[in-house]
Amino acid sequence: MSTQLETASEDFLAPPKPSSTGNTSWQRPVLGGGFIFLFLLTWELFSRQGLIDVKFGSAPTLVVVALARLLSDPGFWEHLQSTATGFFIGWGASVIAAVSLGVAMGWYRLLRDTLEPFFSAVYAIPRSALIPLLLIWFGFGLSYKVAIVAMLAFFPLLISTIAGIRGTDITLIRMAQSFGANDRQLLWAVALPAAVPFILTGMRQSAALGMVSIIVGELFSSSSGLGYLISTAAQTFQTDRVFAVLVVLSVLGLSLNESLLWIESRLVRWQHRR
Amino acid sequence: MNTPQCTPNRGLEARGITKIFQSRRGSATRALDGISVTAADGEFIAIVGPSGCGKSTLLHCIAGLIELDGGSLLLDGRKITGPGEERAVVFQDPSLLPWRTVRDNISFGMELRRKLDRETARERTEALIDLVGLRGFETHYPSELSGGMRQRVNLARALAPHPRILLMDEPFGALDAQTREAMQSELLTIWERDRKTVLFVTHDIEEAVYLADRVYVLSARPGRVQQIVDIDLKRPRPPEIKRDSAFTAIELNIWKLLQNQNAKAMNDEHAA
Repeated sequence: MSTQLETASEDFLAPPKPSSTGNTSWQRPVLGGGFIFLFLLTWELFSRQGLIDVKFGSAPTLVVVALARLLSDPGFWEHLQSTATGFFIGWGASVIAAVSLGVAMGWYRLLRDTLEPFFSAVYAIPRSALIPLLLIWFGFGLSYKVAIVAMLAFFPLLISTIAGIRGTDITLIRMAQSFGANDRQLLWAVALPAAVPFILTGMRQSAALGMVSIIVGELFSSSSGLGYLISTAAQTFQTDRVFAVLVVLSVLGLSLNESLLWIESRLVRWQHRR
Repeated sequence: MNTPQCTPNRGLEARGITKIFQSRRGSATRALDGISVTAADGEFIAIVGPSGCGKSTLLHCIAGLIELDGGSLLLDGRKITGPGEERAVVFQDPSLLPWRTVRDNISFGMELRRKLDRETARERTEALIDLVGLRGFETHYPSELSGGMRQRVNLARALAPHPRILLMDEPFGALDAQTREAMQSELLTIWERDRKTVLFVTHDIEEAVYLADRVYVLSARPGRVQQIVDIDLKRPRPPEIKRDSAFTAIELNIWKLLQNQNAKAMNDEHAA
């Protein structure tokens, strides 16, 4: 290397400085935790004062008792397993279907023009309205749950995958073409990696929708699962138990979302590391 | 000053390049009107012109990325179409793949060409990291680089498959003045080593005069070759040469040519 190169590099070879983050790391846990605590405290006080009828509104301490009883009941774990199995099979199937179809539809105009009107029409139907049909087709066992999750989780992921592929920066396509890239190389080396953040976000959205849909499906008609637990508890006015299951659902939803966010941050490190 | 010269035996010749853009409403704009550019092996050609004259379009045509509506491209007298491995483009936008590190961006073009074995490709990549002064940054992602560093990766990626011809589309246009000057001398240093043929599009007259053996001055839309100016400054050219009277005289000359074109472009706009 010439000396000219070296002296020149000192001036402008410094990487951009990381954006400054204020010292607010304490803010979220303290304020957020404080608010949750305040909410529970108010709820408890209102129940004790009789401002909330415990028969309908329960109370945090009663929910804790119900939760302890629920978790020590082996039947509960079977219901949890039933919901989890239905969810993961259905979600997994819809991820495979939506990503492969979305990539193909995003890349090939012909396929998009052929299938998009059909999917738009189906998408326009409130999809929980299809639950009775699924019930007829699949009965109310595992396959019914899988079908519900797969159907509801499919669309958001399909849409974001198509958007991700189509949103590929045209300058990157041009660049790859200038090196003689063929169509297959453009898809695999440029468009697909560019769509990864969109696909991961879509997977998170579809997981959230899949959770909602399996619970709705179980509430609607089922003999097992967390939705079934809620519906039987509600029918017998066991509001403490209903709330206990809701707490379980909240924990499940949060941990699913957090683990997907973690995977996302690992896979798209190039975007987050700054 | 120069008149069109004879066709070189070896080298690139763009003959009568014409490009017409169809708007969605059906009206046609003639962007390039019979432009001819020749570059013998090892020549450094700069192309300047008023904004909107189609400089970048011309370069993309020569790169084979845009279809021609007239004219032809010849390499060593043989007709070529589409992108080919003898040409490589340094884009105006660094257009780096954000999910690849500096090292993997530099090797991207070689991977697509699939002509080289892994070991050779790796050696070239490492040599280029040193050449463009990015040692220590090879595992960084583009989002972690400054504008100047991104353009170095862009340049290294184009050099990696050993093209005969480098097509550079205002590569330093978006950089600040100091970085740009440093990149210019660095480019010349690299060019002096292996004397590739370079076609360099810019709107910066000083840059064109400093870098090139020959400057093509284009006219306002539709783009035509208005004048070809030979730059008879001896090489290697230190940056101080930009203050020499010979240098500034050429610069002024080209500036006047462009002034007329800009005035004409303004009038056309008013008339339209």
